[in-house]
Amino acid sequence: MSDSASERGLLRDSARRLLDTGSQLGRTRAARASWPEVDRKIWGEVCLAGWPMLLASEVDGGWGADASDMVAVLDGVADLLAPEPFAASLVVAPLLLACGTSSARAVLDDMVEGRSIALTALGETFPMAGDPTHVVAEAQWADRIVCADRTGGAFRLLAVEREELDQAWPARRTVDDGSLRFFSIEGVAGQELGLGPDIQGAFEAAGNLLRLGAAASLVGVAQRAFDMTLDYLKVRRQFGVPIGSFQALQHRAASMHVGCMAARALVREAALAVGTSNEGRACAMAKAKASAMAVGLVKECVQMHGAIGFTNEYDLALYFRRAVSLASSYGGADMCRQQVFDDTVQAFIKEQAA
Amino acid sequence: MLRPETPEQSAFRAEVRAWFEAELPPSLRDLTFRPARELIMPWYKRVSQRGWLAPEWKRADGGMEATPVQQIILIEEAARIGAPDLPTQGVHQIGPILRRFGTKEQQARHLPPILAGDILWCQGYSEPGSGSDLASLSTRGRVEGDEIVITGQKTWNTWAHNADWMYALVRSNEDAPKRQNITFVLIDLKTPGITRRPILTLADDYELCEVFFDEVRVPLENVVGEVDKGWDIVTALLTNERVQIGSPSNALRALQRVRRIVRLLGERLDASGRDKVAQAEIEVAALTAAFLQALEDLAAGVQCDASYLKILASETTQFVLDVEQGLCGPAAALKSPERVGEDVIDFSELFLQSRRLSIYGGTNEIQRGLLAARVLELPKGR
Repeated sequence: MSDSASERGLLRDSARRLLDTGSQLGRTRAARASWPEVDRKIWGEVCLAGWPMLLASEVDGGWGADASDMVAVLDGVADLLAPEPFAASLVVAPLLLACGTSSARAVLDDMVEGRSIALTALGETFPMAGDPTHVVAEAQWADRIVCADRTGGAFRLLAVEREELDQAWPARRTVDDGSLRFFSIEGVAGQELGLGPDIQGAFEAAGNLLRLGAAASLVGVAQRAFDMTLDYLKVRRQFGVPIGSFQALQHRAASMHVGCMAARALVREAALAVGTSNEGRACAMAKAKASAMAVGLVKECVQMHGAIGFTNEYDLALYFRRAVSLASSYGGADMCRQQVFDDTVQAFIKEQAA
Repeated sequence: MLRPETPEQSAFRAEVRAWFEAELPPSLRDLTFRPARELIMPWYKRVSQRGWLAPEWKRADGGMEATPVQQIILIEEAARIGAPDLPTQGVHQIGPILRRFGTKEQQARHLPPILAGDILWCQGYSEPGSGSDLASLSTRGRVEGDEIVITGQKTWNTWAHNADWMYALVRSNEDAPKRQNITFVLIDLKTPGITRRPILTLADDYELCEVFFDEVRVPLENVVGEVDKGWDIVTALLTNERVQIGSPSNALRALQRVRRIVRLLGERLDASGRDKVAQAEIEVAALTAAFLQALEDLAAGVQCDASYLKILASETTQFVLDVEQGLCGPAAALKSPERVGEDVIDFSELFLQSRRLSIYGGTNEIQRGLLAARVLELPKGR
């Protein structure tokens, strides 16, 4: 949608105005205290402003934003640590619109009008009791879960009401005070939203965008943690000098900067590949790189702060836990690298054949 | 490059690929060591005549004003076919310096032969006692009439034994404060009083040289900028001019080797190896993205930071070669390459050579110090 950096800047600023209520990280801490209850006030404003339709085409009544717009916004708001499922919600509209069914349209209308939040679950295998096959992040917000049913051979997209899962598969708290709901759809009725290979394609695209969005958020989180650390290196004095004057710390800080910049460059480049045959590989690359970078970087941030960095009271803890949680969501670095390998080798063999 | 190509870009790629296939002699493909000057210069000249030696240069200076994507396409295609590493110190180092700081006469005299491949340049910065602390250099340049008379020693000069000219830093004033007494000078290496001695490297090649100066008389017209003001030329951020230091060229050459090994190993590659290969792919994609964005920023008038690019490009290449070594098993120690069908696999050569990437052009420790001070604005180091 946006042709220029300044338009993307406006988009980011308007998202910030909604999500930043001027309480620094007060809302993040409040959500921690009230877990699993969520405060839907800001979410109502997000819906009213139309954000869930960001990635929907203008023909469908959306904003027609592209993946580059999305990563610019998410990188730009990640430092707010807003409790709302802002990033996760963005991929839902294009997926539901691709279904072209009245049931999918109804789920979307409920979402857009703020009545019921639908979030997408991805499939994976997990070291969990009961052999769950799906997981949805930000689960305390998800009234409905959009997920794949591959049990019958053909691909079906389902909407499952949270009440259908609450008993057997309760939401589990994550380190950053979000939640994950692991589940399997065995014995769950759900509602069919669409079926067939086209819908499967749209579902895979949603998964790619979730990864890319998480990668952008990881870069934003890492950048904020790094900036906090740079400030600390400049003001904290030991041995009569700012600790940031020590070469051991300067060199590590330089490495952190290089890693963060490179990950951001890769995320932006990957966004350009969305919609092409490179999409899956590019999003997996971005997520793998951003995950490894961000977790490595926030560890260094804690270390450079010393004991204060290890306290819950100091905000770095919130960024640390957010990075850890995001890094493992929608496919962690290792899983993404598996996909990168598979896709790359295929591409290489194809190229050699040509 | 992950982004899709426009039809024009795809056509350019096809043109580059076809031209390389037709023009690059098989004997020059897949070499790790730089071929001898007489073997490589015909190819250098052919690339130059095609307009692709200095793609980023302005048309008026003999370049093609290539877009960022065109530059990446050229780099990727050169890596794909295994094109040899050209001696480009003229194109990437002294060329940009002369364009920014040289006189009209200096530009007219020196830039065309760089492009034509008639004159090869080498750098004369480091000395036995002055490496990272470059400003402590002690090679003297005594101004006498309209000459500057140079005595001392330079070292670690890449390909100096094959070069025609050297751009060098000399101490021109004993009385002025440090850094305000250094002169940037262009030296014709045929001038009497110069002795060159090649240095065998850890990689068993003669890439480096030491150069001795004994009362070498250089006309003052060969001084770039003003006498005693040479340090400004070296330290002027020069970010725009130095953006090529972030080229993914070396990393892509390294990655090409990894890919060949992967293809050879096929199903025998274990999960740990696959993970490392994926990491290598990802790191090179990130470097390529970073370089592309630096070029795009430059085109949009946004400054980029050369230290960041240098660290990223050199360490990415080294990482990819670590991965290659890991994939090779005991063959990793083999000195010479192996031909397997159409492919050449070299096991250790590039890995050994790549040690220098984090040393030359200001060690990565120096770059990290610069980055900490200039970009991160951390307090003065101790």
